Amino acid sequence: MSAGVFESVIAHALKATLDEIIDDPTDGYEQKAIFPKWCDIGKMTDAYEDDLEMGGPGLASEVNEGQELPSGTIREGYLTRYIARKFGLKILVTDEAIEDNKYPEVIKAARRLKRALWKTADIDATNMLARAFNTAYVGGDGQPLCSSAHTLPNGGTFSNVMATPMSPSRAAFIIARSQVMKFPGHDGTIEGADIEAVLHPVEQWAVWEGLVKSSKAPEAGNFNEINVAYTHDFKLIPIKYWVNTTTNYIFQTDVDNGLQFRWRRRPRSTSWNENATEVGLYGISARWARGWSDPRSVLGCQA
Amino acid sequence: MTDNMRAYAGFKWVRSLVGSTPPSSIPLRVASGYAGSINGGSGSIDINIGDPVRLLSTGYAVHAAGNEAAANAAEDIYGIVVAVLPYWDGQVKTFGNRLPYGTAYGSVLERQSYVLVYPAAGHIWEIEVDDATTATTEAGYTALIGENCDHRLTTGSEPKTNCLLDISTHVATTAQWRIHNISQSVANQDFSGAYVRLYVTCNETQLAPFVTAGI
Repeated sequence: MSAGVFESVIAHALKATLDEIIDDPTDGYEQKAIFPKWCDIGKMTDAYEDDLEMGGPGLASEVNEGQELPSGTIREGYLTRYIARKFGLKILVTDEAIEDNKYPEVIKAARRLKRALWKTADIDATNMLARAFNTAYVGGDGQPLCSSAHTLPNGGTFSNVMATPMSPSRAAFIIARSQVMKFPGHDGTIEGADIEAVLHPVEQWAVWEGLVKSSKAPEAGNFNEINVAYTHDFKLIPIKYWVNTTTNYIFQTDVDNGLQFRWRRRPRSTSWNENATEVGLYGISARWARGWSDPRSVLGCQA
Repeated sequence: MTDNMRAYAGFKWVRSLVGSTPPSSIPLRVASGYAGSINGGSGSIDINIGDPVRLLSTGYAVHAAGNEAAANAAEDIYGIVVAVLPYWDGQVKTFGNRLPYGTAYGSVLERQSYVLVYPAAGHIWEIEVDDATTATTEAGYTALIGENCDHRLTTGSEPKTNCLLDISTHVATTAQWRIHNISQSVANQDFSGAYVRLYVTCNETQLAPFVTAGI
């Protein structure tokens, strides 16, 4: 639609001659949303929220008899700011189109808008993954979600990308999990985490299912070895809106404060009339912020 | 890299540059037998919702050609089609979401074809770009804001204009549309892909007082 719903936009619905209206579903889009499966869903109460990284004091020292204890300290790291962004859409419907339309399911502006907004939320969240390796879209530490140079409060950096990109495989999982199990804490010492899920474009569904559902190693000539991807039992989360790649994937770890989706205001519908032009307007908007506070929550592979 | 999702063709009204009231539609007549004069005069193209049109000195509206044809490139635009009034199909006046090419009503004014347009000037329009090479990043598109561009009408397998913004024509000198901003739609998911959406305002319009000469 160019501007709104005029009678010509719904020309075939002006007389009751149709058997079926073929259209996208609008029911249950809130329940169909994918991002709650891989984002921490929260609420915001202010225009913005800040998450602060703190690190320290690191490790203790050996102390000789009668010697004063060495001092340690803590240090602030980066600040991650979540600013609520507003998304919205309106549909304009002329009074004539409303009066003459014979099929309520043709216009159903409010339901269409609700579908549009939930889908928008899903795609906006997915953009965190689609842009995970793009240095133009960074988090609080100035690095993209997946980077080899994430900062540590006491200096130095760590990586949450696979050094050697690998296609989905048992070997890739083994190397990735080993790397995750040695992730540094905020004090820079080895803390470790574990893999809970893999987020991937839907094109990879078959290879991941074959990988995690085989009790034995799925490589030819190696069928007697146990499949550690099977025994570890991590979740598979195919994301259909991740469309900028078919080869990248991201392991999600059990580290807290990872991928966040925070509602400032959940979707709110409204409608009003413009009396001068006699059009009805249906609107919907919501406010949310999304991002990540701790990049240890993921390990990315740009294969 | 992947192409961005497409949801419509042509120009989509986003909002007015001033105020929040939807514009008042303007009826424009279309000549009997109009066949869609894109690509330098040939066509067999319907007038579709979202198409840019211009006014002739005859008082009839036709497609406003873009950069697709050297013969009549970058014509001034009067408005964007938002609706088609019932047209004469040879037997009765028919409701339709497009005005088919060749719609003929002879000299019977009761059967005359009309399209409703929103004036091109004074509004922000959303339009998809036609290539994925002129700019490939958000920063690349940002650098084009403030420059001018022509649109491009192309024929496909259907009688539609498939109107896109000919982004490779971006210049600091005169062109049909001013790049106002990058669309804030999340459909702009991958700036390295095709069909990135931009907000534009009309730069070359037939409307007074932007053009003081008569048509």
